Amino acid sequence: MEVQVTYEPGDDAVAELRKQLRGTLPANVEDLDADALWDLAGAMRTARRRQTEHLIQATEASLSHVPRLIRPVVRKVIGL
Amino acid sequence: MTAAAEIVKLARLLGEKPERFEYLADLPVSDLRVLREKATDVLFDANRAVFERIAAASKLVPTAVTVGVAQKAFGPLLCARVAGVLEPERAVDIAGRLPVDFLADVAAELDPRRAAGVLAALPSGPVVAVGRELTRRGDYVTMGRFIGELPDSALRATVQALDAEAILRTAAFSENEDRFAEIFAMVPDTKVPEIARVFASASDELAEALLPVLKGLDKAGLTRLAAAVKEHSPEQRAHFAELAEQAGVLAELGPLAEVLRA
Repeated sequence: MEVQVTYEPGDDAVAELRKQLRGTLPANVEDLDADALWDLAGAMRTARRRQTEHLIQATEASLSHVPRLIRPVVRKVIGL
Repeated sequence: MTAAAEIVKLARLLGEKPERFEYLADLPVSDLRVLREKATDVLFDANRAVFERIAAASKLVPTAVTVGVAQKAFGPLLCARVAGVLEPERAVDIAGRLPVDFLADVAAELDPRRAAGVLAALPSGPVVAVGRELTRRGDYVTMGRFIGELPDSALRATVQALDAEAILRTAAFSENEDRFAEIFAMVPDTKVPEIARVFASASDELAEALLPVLKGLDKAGLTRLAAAVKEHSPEQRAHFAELAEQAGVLAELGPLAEVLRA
């Protein structure tokens, strides 16, 4: 028997937002239109990328403020 | 708290302008809060291991070096993230050496739920100083986020240091509406008439933000405020009553409503 699957244009967007936020969200949020859901997911992805880039630059820059003698140890602990 | 205030908080967390998220304006505040808290958790957890290693590395260098790194290399956002994994005593030591305006920047980025241990260990002095700085900036969004997490002693000191309008605007942005009765009980008697005056002379915009706060007052608080409002002229009381009616709270104000209607 053939199973009828109804395709909703917002389904992909809901899946992407759930992926970005690691789980389901309140029904009122997931019921937003697809453009809004894509925008929210995009904003979340950008914020994560921005935070990671900022973190990499800041940890590298932080070493210049650390006394030379202990830089190798600090570098190792931070994982650089 | 309104949906607009929640959107401001979400936008700040994601580093965007609030206008971008206009499409969220009609959602219930409780759903927006869930969305923001999930986003906060994801951003924190995304680099949690690095934050923990940075916290560990900070123990290897003198506090003065950490303070320099915090301001010159890390900036407020990363300091706020790392604060969530620092040992409270270490965080308090570092915070005590940072300038108040930088601490206020960090506070704006901090997730108070994750920094509860640090907030509990901070002396009232720096908390009040940061509260004053945030008030000077008009950043009641940040002030409101801390209401639920500050220990009583720091909250009391802050309430006593702020003027009436700042107390009320902070309460309007609070994520813990139930705490207003407690906050109002901390307001010194000498400041209650000032609180009453702010309500009675509020513009429509201010009234819309502040009047819902009154719903959080208990009978003791309403009675205390009513005693101050009793001293107002009939015209002032009528204006206050009209604002409360427009905000849909007049019927819930018990002893205060009686004075306003008299």
